[in-house]
Parts: sequence; structure tokens; C-alpha cells
Amino acid sequence: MLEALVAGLGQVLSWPAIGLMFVGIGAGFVVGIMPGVGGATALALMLPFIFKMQPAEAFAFLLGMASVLAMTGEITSILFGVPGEPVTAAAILDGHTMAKKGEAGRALGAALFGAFIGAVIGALSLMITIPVVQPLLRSFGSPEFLMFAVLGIAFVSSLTGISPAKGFAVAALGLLLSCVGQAPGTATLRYVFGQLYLWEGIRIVPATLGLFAIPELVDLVVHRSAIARRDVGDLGGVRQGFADVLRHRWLAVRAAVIGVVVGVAPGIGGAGAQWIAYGHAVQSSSTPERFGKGAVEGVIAPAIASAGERTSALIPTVAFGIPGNVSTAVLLGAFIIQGLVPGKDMLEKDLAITFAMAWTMIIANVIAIAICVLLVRQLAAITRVRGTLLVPPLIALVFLGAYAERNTLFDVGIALAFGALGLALNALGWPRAPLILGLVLGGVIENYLSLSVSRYDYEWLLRPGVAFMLAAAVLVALSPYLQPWVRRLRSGRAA
Amino acid sequence: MTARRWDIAFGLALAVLFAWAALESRRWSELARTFPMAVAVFGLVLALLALVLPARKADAPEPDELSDDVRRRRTAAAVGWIAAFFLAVWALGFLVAIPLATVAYLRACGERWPVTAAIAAASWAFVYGLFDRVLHVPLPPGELLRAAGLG
Repeated sequence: MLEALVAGLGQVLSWPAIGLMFVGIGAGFVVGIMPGVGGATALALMLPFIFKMQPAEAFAFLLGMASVLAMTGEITSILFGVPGEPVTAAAILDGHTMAKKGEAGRALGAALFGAFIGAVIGALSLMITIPVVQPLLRSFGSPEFLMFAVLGIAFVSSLTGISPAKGFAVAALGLLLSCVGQAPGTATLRYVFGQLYLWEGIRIVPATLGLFAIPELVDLVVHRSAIARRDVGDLGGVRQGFADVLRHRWLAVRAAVIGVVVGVAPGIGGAGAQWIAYGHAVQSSSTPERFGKGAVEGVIAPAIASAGERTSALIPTVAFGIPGNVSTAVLLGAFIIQGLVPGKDMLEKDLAITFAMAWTMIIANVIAIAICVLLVRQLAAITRVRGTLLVPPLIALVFLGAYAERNTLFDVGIALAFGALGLALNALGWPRAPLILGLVLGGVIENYLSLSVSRYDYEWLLRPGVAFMLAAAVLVALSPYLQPWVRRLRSGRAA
Repeated sequence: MTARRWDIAFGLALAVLFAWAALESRRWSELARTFPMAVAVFGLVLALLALVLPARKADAPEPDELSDDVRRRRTAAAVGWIAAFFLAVWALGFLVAIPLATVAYLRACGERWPVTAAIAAASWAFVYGLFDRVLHVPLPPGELLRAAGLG
């Protein structure tokens, strides 16, 4: 195994693999900054170029790009409130608020270093878990994956905003919107109003862009100021962001674990992982009221979980040929193009290539973070540009991002509709995060629920893992209402 | 209408939506209706609960130099500009609409011509260069231009 580990590193550092990795990183930077052209799309666009490459070269190129895509997506989320990727939307809540307070450099530093830590932990978990991954994954079934998604919704709904009931109602709206389109496993059309366009359901990219970016755009127009409304001496602050990650190291570790576990569970994806980690950061903080107003932990946890998810999603892809997210589904195509068979071969005969993939993600992230750190002061300076000048390019970016995924203006209309909803939710104090999480996880929950019931009837509820996670979800959901009661009980005892 | 009344109106609108969604799902097969019906019923209960259950104490809003009236007027203007950009894209396509709408917006905000022209040109170059030439995203020609036979 050690031999394969060294051989894998050698493959990545050899020419032309290392050169192709730089090409991939460059492409990842450009695509990551553009909303809508997501990781999966970018990877799919690059597949035709790998036909003549060797496996290590192909994965250095593809994974080099994939590794930096979301890292750069964090940049637009923090600076402009426009999520470069759906998996970086959570960075807006606190990261963009920090940018408005003149702490863009600190937020970028925390997000980029966090993404680096998450990617490295994810890649290490790929290396370490290879011998144990098969029996571990086999002990999990659809009921456990279902409960994991439910737990995520419980975390985010009860802990964001000022009223847990509002959070859960908004999450239910997201789940309901996920039902739009053709019902899985049947030909029934649900809530489509006779529109052919709605048959495929509501897409995450235009919904996320609309819900988060349009309210920020309106805010920019309303205030007619730069994004950074407070003048601070040190615009950079990137070192402080790095130090923040180290200061919150245990949160970083827990967020990485969340990312890795979500990555291994097929279907939930990075968009779910970031929100679950955000919910956990709020829940585990002694000052949860700071979240949404520029708490650096609200930047660190989602960035780490999202990056950890991205790399660990390769575990089920390599071990079973089951993609953990959409990007790894495209990578599975790359496996086939390269003549690689996921499963036993990748864990034995082609183990060096599996390790080369993990090394690529670590090295690509080191290079990407070095480039970002070099540019971060210049990037953060954008927040001092007059808001008026940024509005037209940002509107164009949002529209193009919404359009580019399916090449239809209907998606721009969806972004506008979600933008209006986002404005209303913001104005009335209803949280936005549970809506997008419900939309992301709705399909997954329905699918796993259907599988669980058909396979185990209602006995799946009695499985120990399910019972444990269900109890945890109920406790998390009720915790905001129980906390004052517990506090009173404690103060009564102390008196 | 006060903020509390808007809040109640929004909660009630959500409740009506969930009730409609639950009723609508009754006519589907069991497999297709189970999940949306369960979500709609839970959603209905939660939307009503949200109106009556106590909220955590909200923090005082950040001090804002804008009056409510100015804020409302500017929000309406912002929404109008975003809608105008969308209409322009629909009518003229991205390649024509983005630079044109950029010029219109920046001039309306009192920006000088050199700055306006530079940003409009950069926006066009970004859309054309990256989306059209590099990524080969099929950008729509715009309904007006199509009708005029120019698309």
C-alpha cells in the first residue's frame, strides 16, 4: 500500500501530469468565479480532452479543475453575495456580511484556508478509509441516509432565523417545491400547470442565484455605496482569517467530518453539506445570535464541509462506482473513458491511480490557495468600488449563471421569482437557508423514503441508527423551545 | 400595513399554498402523492404554528441612514431595473441587451461617459468571449431581433 502511495505521488508530479494540473487549475479559477457554470458542467465540457491522456494525466487535469472550482466560488459569494457555485451559497450569510463590514480579506482568508483544510481532510480520508470503506458503507442503508438528510433539515431550520417554526415552514416550502415535475418512478406530473418546462422540476442553480444574489443586488442599489460600507485600515486581513480557522480548530474538524460523511452518502451533495455544517456551527456556538451578522465560524464551517464533501465523494465512486454527487457522476464517465473499473480493481490493481487522485486534490488545493492568497488583497479591494459600477455586471452574471445550465430563459425567470421570494423573506424576517436546503434534499428524501418503505415497510423506523438520528432530529427541532426552560431549571437549582 | 400584519399575511399565504398543494395531490397515485401530501400537511401546520409560537428576541436592526420612504422608493427602482434588464435580454438577446442596459443604468445613475463605455465594453467582451466563444453557450438572439429577421 505504501508503495502505491509513493507511486501515486510520482504519477502526479511527473510531466505532463503536473502541467495539465496547472491548466485544470487555471480553467477552474475562471469557471468557479462564474455562477451557473457549475463543477459538473465544467467537468463535462472537459471530458472530450482526456481521450488521449493517460489516467494519471486525465485525473490531474480534471481533479485539478474540480478542486479549485468551489474554492473560487467562495470568492464571489463573499465579495458580491452571488454564489459562484450552489455549494458556496452558505458563505453569503456571514461572509458577505463581513465584506460589508470591511472584513472581506478576513472572510476570504477563512473561507479559502477552510476549503483547503476540508479538501486535505477529505483526500486523507480517501487514502485512509480505502481498506475499511466497503464494510462501513454496507452497514448503511437507505433509512440511515434518509435520516441523515432529515437531521440536516432539522439543524438548519431550527437554528437559523428568529423563529424555529418559521424555519421549518420555509423548509417545508423548499421540500414542496422539490416535488414540482415528474414524480420519481411514475409518469405523474406534479404542480407543473401544463408547462413543459416544469416537467424537469425547479433547478438548484437559478433558485440559489435568485434567492441569495438578487436581494444583495437590490441592497447594493438601495444603499448606492460600495459593498464595504465601513472603512477599515487593513482591507486584507487574510492572515486573521487563517488564524480564525486555527482558533476554531475543533469546529473545523467537526465540519470536515460532516463533509466527509455527507460526501460518502450518495445524493446529498455539497449544497446539503455546507448548510448542515452551518447549522452545526450555530448550534454548537455559545453566542448563536452572532450568526448571519458576520460570524467567522459561519464562513469556516460551510467552506470546510463543502470541500470535504467534494473530495470524499470520490470514496463511493472509487469503491463501488456509486457517485457521491453530480461532479463525481461526470468523473465516473472519465473512469470509463480511461478504461478504469470502479470497485475491487481501483482498490487493488489500480490503487496507485486512486492515490494519485487523492494527491492531485491535495496538491491542487495547495497551489490554488497560494494563488488566492497572492490575489486576495486585489480581490478584496473590489468591495471598495462604487456599488453603481458593480450592479450591471452582477445582474449580467446572475442572468447568465441562471441561463447557462440549461440554456433557457425560463431559468432566468425562475431566478427572478426566487429573488422576489428572497426579498420578501428577508424583509419579513423569515430565513432563506432552509428553503434552499429543502429544495436540495427534497428529491433525496423522497427517494430514500420510497426505498426504505418498499424494502422494510415501516420497520425501518426501528433500526438503531434511524432511531438515534430521529431522536437527535426531534431534540434539535425542539431545542430553541427547551433552552429557556433548561436555563430556568439550572438557575433555580443554583439559587 | 404594519410589519406584523405583513408577517401574518405571509404566513397565511404560505398556509393557503400548503392547503392547496395537499388538495391537489389527492388525485395522484399513492406513490406520487405520499411525499408531497405529507410535506404539505406538515407545512400547513408549521405555517400556522409560526404565526402563534413565540420567536426568539430579534436583535435591534443595524443603524441605517435611509428613511423608510427612501428605502421603499429605491427598492422599487432596483426591482424595476432588474426587470428592465430581463426584458432587454428577452427582446434583444444577451449580446445586445447587456451592453445597452449597462449604458442605460450607468447614465441614469450619473456616471460619466468614459466609465460607462468602458464597463459596457468589458461586459460585452466577457459575455461574448467567455460564454459564446470559449464555452459555446448558445445565447438566444432575442425575440425582437428574431421577429425582425436579424436573429
